[in-house]
Amino acid sequence: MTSRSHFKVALAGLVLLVALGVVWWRGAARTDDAGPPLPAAAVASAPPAASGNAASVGPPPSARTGPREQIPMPGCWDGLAALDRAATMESLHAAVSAAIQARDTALVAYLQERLTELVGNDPDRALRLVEWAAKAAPPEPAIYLEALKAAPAVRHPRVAEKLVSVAEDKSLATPDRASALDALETQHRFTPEMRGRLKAIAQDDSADSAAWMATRTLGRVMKEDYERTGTYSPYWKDLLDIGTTSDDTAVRLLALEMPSYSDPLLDSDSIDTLAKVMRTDKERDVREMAAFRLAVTEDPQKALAAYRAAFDGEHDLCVRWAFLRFAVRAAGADALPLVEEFARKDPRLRQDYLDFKALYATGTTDFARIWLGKKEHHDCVVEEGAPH
Amino acid sequence: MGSRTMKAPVLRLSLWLSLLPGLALAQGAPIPVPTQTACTVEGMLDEVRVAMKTGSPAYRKYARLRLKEAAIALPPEALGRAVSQERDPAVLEAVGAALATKASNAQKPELLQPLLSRASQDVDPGLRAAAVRALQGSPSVEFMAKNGGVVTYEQLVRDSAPEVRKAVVENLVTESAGIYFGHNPELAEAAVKVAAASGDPAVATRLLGEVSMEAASPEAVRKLTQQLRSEDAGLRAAAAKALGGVPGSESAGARRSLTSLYRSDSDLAVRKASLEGIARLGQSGARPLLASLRGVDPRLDPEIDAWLSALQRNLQEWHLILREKRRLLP
Repeated sequence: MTSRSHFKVALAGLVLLVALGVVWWRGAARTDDAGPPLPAAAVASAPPAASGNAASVGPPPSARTGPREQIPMPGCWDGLAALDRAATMESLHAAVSAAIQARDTALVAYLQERLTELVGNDPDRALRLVEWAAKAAPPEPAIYLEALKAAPAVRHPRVAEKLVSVAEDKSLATPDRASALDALETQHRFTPEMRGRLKAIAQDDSADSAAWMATRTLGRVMKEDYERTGTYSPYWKDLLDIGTTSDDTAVRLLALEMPSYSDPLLDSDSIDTLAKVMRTDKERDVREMAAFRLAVTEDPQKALAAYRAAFDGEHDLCVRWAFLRFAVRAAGADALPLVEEFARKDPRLRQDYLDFKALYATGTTDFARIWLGKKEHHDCVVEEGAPH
Repeated sequence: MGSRTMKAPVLRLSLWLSLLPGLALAQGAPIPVPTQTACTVEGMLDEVRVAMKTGSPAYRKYARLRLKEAAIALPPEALGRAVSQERDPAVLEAVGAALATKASNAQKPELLQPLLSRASQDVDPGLRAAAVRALQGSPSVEFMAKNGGVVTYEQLVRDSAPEVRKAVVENLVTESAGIYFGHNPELAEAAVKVAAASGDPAVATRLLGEVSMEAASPEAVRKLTQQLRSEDAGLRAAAAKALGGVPGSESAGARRSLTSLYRSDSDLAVRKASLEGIARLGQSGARPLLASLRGVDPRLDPEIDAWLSALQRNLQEWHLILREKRRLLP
């Protein structure tokens, strides 16, 4: 095999893994709607103005003697080493404008990281970034807030409090509130008070993209806290409330999606709530997401019972197919009798039953590997924005 | 007397400061904003040298990335020359990585030759290690084979310098996980061969522990099974753990080997690793076999109990089972 075909195999594997939770895509794609425009996006579409410029400037006076072979590419700068050596908040701030003007994403990325280094643990410098972000026009705010997010000072109580209060400020445009929420995602934990404030934003139907971002940030901090301390349940309780009460489908979907990134074993009570969402939510995507969530719990048998109970009332083939594959993810070969029952009731699922049966017969046990060998027979992956 | 003369200028300075609140006196002269300039091969190489010597972590990363990006536009001869002549390890690594990127993009394995010679022949171990590290992130196993196997990881892992051997391990681990997501039979094979060739238990343990055996061929599984008889207990333990990850079609044989290893090998770590391998092969189906091994070594009965509890949950993904088991008994 050539390396190119290896890459293809690897890529196919990745696609399959993502397709396992097809709805993740749609959740993730919303990031661009909700978050501030990324500098990369702004830069990629722009013409390479820098190359023309560069060619006319010629070699710098500091050039060594001897031939210097020019390369037809943009993005080389004089004075960068000096800037790096003596970097201050102000000098980096000024350079950000120059980098944006030149549409140089690599330089923007460097300046952002250098700002992170310079802020370090200093809450006053961190608050300067918040201030700059408030005053600047896109794409600058995203650069400062991303720099802030990566600096330890973002977890200083004064800084976190400032970000939450910006997020709560209804006089601001929702994208600006959303950016502040986004910058909170690297907190290691939230106090109950902070969680309550984020939940209120998430449940405020007028908060639009800020509600979506508050939900995502609650989920991301849940992952941080879970991986550090094993705590997930207070966050999950909030997310489950949001996932069952928000009027915004995208917010409900996201609330139920967030445990995917740390896979805590959900408690038995959540199974009941999720089973109800799976039977009753009016949106197909949300019912599928609830099915996905039921695949990793403390009680796989109870999850199988929930899939069985929901099957007859569900008429959408894609959601039935979700029940089937997530039943297998929940209980492996033990789910095959239930899967056979599904296939008997709906012959369109028969090939899936046969595929899973054959895969388990090979001796493979890990569902991650089983899934890599599974063929897709249903046209259920929906592009963002397409009607379904 | 002295204190008065000292005080006056300080007072005056604070007065000035309060009059000019925006002035950043402490920061000295303002630093000019960088200006765009033409890109040259030498200019880019100079930038990498400066960045590696005195740059901030962000600047070093930027310079390395820029050079990699530029590799597409850079003439391969210039990069090859720089790779052959560079004396600083950090710079060699950056320039070598750019060359490896170029070789990979152009699908021209022969471009790697100057880097492979430095990796195998340089007198300075720091530079040999840097040349090996430069290959990280490229399809290096495949490209070494396409260069006629003149330089291979099996050979590099026998280097007298630990830093070179460590670089070999890092490359294989990263290449397996980062490029092929564990699905590559050649990588599994290379890991088994390199582990056997290394003679360095730490190297072998890390390789067998971290390179995925998911796509290992029957031949690779056979070689891995032979390692269960190694003199070195660390290597036997690593091989036992790795056998847990072989493909389903190989699992029956692997299970037999691990069961007899558990019964016959008196080393505690080897036995512990056999239990993990058995648990992984069968997941929740491994419970009866694990339970039957109780009493063979009473010191490990708590370990068996932890596995039984973790598997009781009937989780279907190995990473979840392992996480659960470690929660119960690290």
